Order: sequence, then structure tokens, then C-alpha cells
Amino acid sequence: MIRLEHVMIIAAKEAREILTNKGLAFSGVFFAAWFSIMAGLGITEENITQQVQLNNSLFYMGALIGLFIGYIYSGQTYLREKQSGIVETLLCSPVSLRSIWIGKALGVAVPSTVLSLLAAGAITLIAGARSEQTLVPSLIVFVHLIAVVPIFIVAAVALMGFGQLMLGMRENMVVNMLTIMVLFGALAATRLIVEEAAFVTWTAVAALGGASVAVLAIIWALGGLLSRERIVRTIS
Amino acid sequence: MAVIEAIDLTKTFGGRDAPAVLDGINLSIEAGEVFGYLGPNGAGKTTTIRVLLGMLAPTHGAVRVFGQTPSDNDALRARIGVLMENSGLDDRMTARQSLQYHARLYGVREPEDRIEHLLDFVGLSDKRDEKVGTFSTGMKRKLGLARSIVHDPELLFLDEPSAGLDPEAQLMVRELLQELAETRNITVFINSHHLDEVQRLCSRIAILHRGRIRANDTVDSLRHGGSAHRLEVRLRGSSQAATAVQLLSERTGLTAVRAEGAKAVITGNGFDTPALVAALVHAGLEIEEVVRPIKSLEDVYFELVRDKGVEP
Repeated sequence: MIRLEHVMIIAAKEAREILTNKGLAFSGVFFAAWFSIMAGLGITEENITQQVQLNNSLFYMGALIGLFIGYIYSGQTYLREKQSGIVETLLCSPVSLRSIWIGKALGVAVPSTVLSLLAAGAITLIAGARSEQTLVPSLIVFVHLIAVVPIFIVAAVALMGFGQLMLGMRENMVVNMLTIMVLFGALAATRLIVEEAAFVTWTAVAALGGASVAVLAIIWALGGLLSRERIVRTIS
Repeated sequence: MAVIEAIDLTKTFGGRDAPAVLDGINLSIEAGEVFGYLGPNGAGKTTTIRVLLGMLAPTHGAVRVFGQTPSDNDALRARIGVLMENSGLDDRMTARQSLQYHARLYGVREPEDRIEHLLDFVGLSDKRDEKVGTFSTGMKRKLGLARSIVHDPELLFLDEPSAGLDPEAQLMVRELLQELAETRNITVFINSHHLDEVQRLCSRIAILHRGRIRANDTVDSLRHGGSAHRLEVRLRGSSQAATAVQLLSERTGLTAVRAEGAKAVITGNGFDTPALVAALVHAGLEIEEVVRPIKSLEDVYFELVRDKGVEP
């Protein structure tokens, strides 16, 4: 039985640790800054207008930066704690598995989302500074960043956390390598996607939002597969 | 009512045909007992704790804690404190934050006074705002102990509480556990292969080897158990010993009587010591000393596990 009180206690602890840990906080800020600078500088007048490119970039990078940072943080929150016995201590407590899993996902998703939104702001400022015109994200992009990106990041982190709790250490290493390859592939494809044509539409926002909700619903159902026995037996 | 019950508990990993990690374990631990669970590495001690905590399901048999099945029982877990072998502390939290976090998860109301008391209890008051990552193994163990009792549990599981500690830290942890056992009426289940620790702390122990319980009794009974039917009578000279052996050989209830120098060594399945001594005195023999040897727990332990080629 999931208890909101437990979820919030765990989420607050994870978020506080990410924010107060210099190494973790720095890595998140570094990647957010790096990707936003690269994306911002990449917005130039080419096939499409800078305004359209900005919207494309914010739509794409807003989600991708959050996903990348969420990936880094989830490794610390789920996998490291599983390896070091912290998760087993939690399993001995009167906290349900779903509360542990979702609490950690929220604790990771909140700072990841904040950094992602800050990166979106930075992209806008950098692109605007290089342009002769005032660049402001469209309403669709605003809605996407405020409403869809957080759900997308929560869903992605919850999915990664689910895998890290369910899988053994070797399987997790393989999954991590694949995830890294996909993330870098997606980052490498940024210019190709952003500079080609306008694709930010209400339909695209609704599709990504709907897909994120669907993923959340699916992994919520998959959560039934999580068991204390499964986690304990995959610790080492 | 027993606080912990295991009935024919069997646990295998990797299918029913796999070798049993726990094989037909029967346990019954009463309220207020400090129970020691001894065994070499790999004997199945931690697996037993995990089953009793509901983290692993029995392959066969049943376990009950406070009369309830522990799997998926959050309310039951709220009554239990646990310190696993690796302490399970987050290095990035301070000592106080660590206790606050667990107090909140266990629903402790207004925990600040209790946290201060516990930090004082384990001697970490002056380290309360330092990161756990800067602590020594001994300090982490003490903090782990404080964390395990932050919610005032009725039952406490300790998995190798002094593992990896130097002798001084071992003594500190043992003193803490002694104080805990004496001042709070809680049931304590200690997993250990530290014989001295168990002997000093526990009212009753079980010795586990290769998934099976080889002995389950009080420390005193176990120490007497292997030698309860052995008696050594030192007489004035070896000739008197030989006479004693001849005299006693005809008595019933004795399995062996032999002379070792001036001593007559008597073994049997229960015999009346005063009657034996009286018989020797009546025969005119001069007895200088009568000894009923008591084994150390170490002797008992090794008798049970050494023949299998396993060291603690």
C-alpha cells in the first residue's frame, strides 16, 4: 500500500541529497549548462527561422536534458543505495515497495526537471543574445515545458529505477551502457532534428504527454512485479 | 506466545531441487529473550533473518513473528528494529539526519528528544552533525544500532553486530547491547560467528551449520551437554585409579571407565555422581579431587562444525 507520507519523506531526502552533494549537484549543473550552451549556440538562421528552431530545440532538449540528468541521479539513488545496503534497510522498514520506488523517482525527477527548465531558459537567453530579434518560446512550448516535461521525466526515472531495483548488477551494467548509447545518440541527432522543420505542435505535445502518462501507467502496473525477494536476491 | 516461530523452515534458491540454504529449521523464541544464532559464514544465518523479516519467502514450512506472517506486513515491520551486517547507512547524511529520516519513516512523533538521547546512548552526541561517510566502522555500527531502535521496537534483529570492528569497538558495541538488553524489555535475535560475544550476551543460542540447526539450548546447558556424563576422579596413585576402574566397570549406566595415571575417567548416559563417589570411598579409595569438566562454547561449537571442515 503506497503512503503519500512515506513517498514525500523519501522524495525530500533524495532531492536534498542531490542538491547538497557537491559532486552530484555539479554534474547536473555542468551537463545542463553544457547542453544548453551547445543548443543555444546552434540556433542560427538556416533552413528554418530562429524562432522555429528555438521552439524545436526547447521541445527536444527540454525533455532530453531532464532525461540525461535523471539518468545520472537515478544511478546514485537506486543502484548505489542497492549496492551499499541502504535499500535493504528500507525494505526492513514499514514502508511499501511502491512508496520506496516512487519516492525515489520523485526525489530524482524534481531536481532533474528544475535543471531542465533552467537549461531551457539558458537556451532561450543564449539564442536571443546571438539573434537580432527577440526570441520567446511559443505557448505550445511553454505548456510542454511546464506540463509535459515533468511527467516525462518522472516516467523515465521511475522506469530506470524499476529496472535498477529489479535487475542484478551485471544486467544493470548492460542496461546502463545501452541507455548511455541511446542518450548520446539522441544528443548527437539534435541538430538534425531541430534544424530540419517545424514539428512543435499541440499534437506533438499531446502525443509526448500521452506517451509519458501511458508509460507511467504501464510501469505502475509493472510495479506489481517488484518484490522484496527479487530486490534482495539481485543485490550482489 | 512465542515472538518468533519457525516451523520446518526450508529455503532454496534456484528451484525446489536446488540445495537447501535452510533445511528444516525449527525455532521458538520467547519475549524478552536474547537469542544467539551462531554459525560459520554461509551457514544460512542472514537468510534466516531475511525470511523472518519477510524479505524472502520460505520454500517450505512457515514463519511467524508476533503470531503473524511477515511477508508484505508493514504493520509488523513497524514493531521490529534491524541492523544488517553492512549497517545500511547513507554516507551523505549526518548522524542526526540519518536518525531523523528513519524516525519519520517509522512514524515516531516528535523524535528530536529521542534522537538526542540515542546519540548520547551510543556516544555520538559530539558527532551528530558530521557526515556518516567520515565515520569509522565502529561509529557506523553504533549509529546503525541507534537507528535500529529509534522507533523503540519490541523485537531487534542484529546481523553480525561486531563484524569488522577492532577489539575496543567490539567491546563498546557489546556493552551497548548489554545495556539495551538489561534496560529495555525487548527480544533480541543476534546473528553472529563471534562466540565470546554470543556467550556474554545471549540467554539461549542455536548453532546453525549448512542450513541445519545442530544445537539449540542455553549456553550453560550446551557447555555441560557434551560433558554432563563425564566425570574425572583423581585418586592417590595410579594403582588406586586402576582399582577404581575395576570396581566401576561392573556398574550399570556407564559407557566407559578408564584410568589415566592417577585419574579414573568415567563416562556414561546419566549416572548418580554422589553414589559413585560413595562407592569409591566405601571401597577404601582415597579421593583427592572430583571434577566434572565443562567445555567452552568454542569447544561445543567446533565439535558441531569442525568435522565438516568449516572454520567460524
